Amino acid sequence: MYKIKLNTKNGFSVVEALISCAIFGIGFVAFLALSSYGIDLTQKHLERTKSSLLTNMILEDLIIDQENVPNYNNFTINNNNLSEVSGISNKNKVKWANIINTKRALPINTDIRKVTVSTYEDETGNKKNRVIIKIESLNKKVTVLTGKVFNYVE
Amino acid sequence: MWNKKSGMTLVEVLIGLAVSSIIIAGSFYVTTQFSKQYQLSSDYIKVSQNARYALYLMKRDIRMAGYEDPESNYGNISSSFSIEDGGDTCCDKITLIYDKNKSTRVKLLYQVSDNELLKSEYQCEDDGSCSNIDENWKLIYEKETVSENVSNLQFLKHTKGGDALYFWSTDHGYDIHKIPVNTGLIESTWKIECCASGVDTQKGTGRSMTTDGINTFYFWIENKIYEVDISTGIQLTEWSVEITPRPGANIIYGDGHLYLWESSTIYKYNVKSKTKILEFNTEFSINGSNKSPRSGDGSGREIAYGNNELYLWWYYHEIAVFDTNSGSFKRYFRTDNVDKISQWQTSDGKSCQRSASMTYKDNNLYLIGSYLGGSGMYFAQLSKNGNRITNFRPRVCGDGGNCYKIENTCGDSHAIGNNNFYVWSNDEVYVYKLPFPGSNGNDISDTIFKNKIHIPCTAEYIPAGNCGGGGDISLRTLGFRSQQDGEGTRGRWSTNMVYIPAQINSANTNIQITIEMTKGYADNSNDIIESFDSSATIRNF
Repeated sequence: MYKIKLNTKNGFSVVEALISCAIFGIGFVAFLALSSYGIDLTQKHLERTKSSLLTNMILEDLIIDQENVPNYNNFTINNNNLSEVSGISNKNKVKWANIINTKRALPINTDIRKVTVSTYEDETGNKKNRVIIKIESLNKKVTVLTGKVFNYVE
Repeated sequence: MWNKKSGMTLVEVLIGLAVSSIIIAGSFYVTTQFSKQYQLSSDYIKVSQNARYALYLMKRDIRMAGYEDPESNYGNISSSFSIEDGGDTCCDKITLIYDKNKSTRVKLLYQVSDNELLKSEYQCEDDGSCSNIDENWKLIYEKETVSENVSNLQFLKHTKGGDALYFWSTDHGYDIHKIPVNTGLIESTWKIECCASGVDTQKGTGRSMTTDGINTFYFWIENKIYEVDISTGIQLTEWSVEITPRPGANIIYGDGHLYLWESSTIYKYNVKSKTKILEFNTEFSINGSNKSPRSGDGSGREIAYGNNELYLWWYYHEIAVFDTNSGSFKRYFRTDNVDKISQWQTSDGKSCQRSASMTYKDNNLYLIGSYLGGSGMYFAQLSKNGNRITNFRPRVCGDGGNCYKIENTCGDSHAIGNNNFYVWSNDEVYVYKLPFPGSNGNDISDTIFKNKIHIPCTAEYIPAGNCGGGGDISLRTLGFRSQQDGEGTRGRWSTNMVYIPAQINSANTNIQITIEMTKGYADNSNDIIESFDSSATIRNF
């Protein structure tokens, strides 16, 4: 087996210096990668902030359309198929789709931007609508999940 | 160990220098990059935090707008918020009013100046009512910076059941179409329950519709009044009246009552008790001349209610005023003496008989009709005694300054709301600013035209092939549309439009907020421009 022999008499040899440089270079590249990781983190932060604001917007918008909350079940914000319901529900859906598709990046691969509504009865027997909004962005690197319970309006 | 005998060779020194240089340059590059990245990340975080904080503050206050403490020392809040449009590039302002507690009513103003979001706070004077943004406020602090890096701030109001125009066309199975004025798009369409089949379009007339301006429509069809919820289109109730409207008949809501004008009789009904409480004849004599205002003489909305008085506009240019409590005649004046305005009719006198529209607001009458001595639509604003405030022939000016006048069509309607004057003619709604400018006798003004809402002819509402020439359901204004016979027994098809204001004290107003944050750098290489969207719903207190 070849062994590196340190030249203890004449200082570093060129080979030694080059090997040191190579080792230093590897560390250097790893260090540079940290920089891009920082950029990635910043992007995620922004995406999370915007997604969070958007989910809050959706919940706020549902407050003025509580009687139609079940109609939002399985609505995928990415698509513009708005023929299901009319009125304020339609208007809300157009608004969300416009914001997410024009001001934000289009969804990547299997990213999900979806509203799910389930109806249940609470312990006192009152019907409620549970709304869950899930937004996955940047190829699922960022996931925001927000929910709220609305009274069921007949 | 250093070579103490012979030192370093030149080659060694050169290699050493080269390696050192690479290491120093690399280190410098890394340090610089890290520094830039750190700065950029910090700025992104700062921008994001600023945006979130600004949105948090504004959303919190928007949600509270209109809140009145149950034991408030102040009057009712009639106008809880106001948005001032600053254009698309920068920046809108919002003013909000609510009670912090029973003895503290605040007015908050958010605005942007020099890339800073500024907040001002006012408190109600002790003896003030502070029901709107203009009254009795004392400054607490002014233009305090709450966020930086704000390059644009936009508010967009979304309302349910309000700030919208509602169109009724008896031409299309009694459909009601709602168009919010901030979008100009048809938002919903529904039918009156009684007439969903739309079989007989000759039962009513477009002018037999009125509203309380808050949450109820009243339709007078055959011998019934149908009350319909404005927000949902759901029929609330129906009740009988003793008269059936013929084409040309009019109905108007005023102060808890409905006034039904059929031929030369007015019937006054109380909407709560649903009973007739007064009936009076509209015939009267003045200066030895007998007058007989009759509803069937026109195809427009020629009745207006204001301050316990009814105004009837008939036979081209005559207006009579009646007391709504006694039914007695009070005043008479003409619109042609100084106002140059007249009801309009088609040249054959049959297809559209004397179309006109009149509303009352704040002691003034607003009329649309035709221009005496010329062509084109004409606006007039009169005092309640018939004196001219202003009048003019409106123009529409498009891009490039191309202006044209609006031609009358049968059944033209108008509505007033939110400081705008909406005129529905054919398949367009023309939007003008109020107040009207003083005309000083000039005939034309185009400075108040704002925009127009084109009512689309889309397949969803209108069958293919019917869009042109006033198709069956193309939401065009229509008058009698059929040969008249006396009081319009053979007439049919008419249209009407009303404006419903936003219902600001209930949870049906939502404000969308878009805040754009910008952080610039000297070399513009990494300028941060990020837009954040959110919204807040004014709560129903």
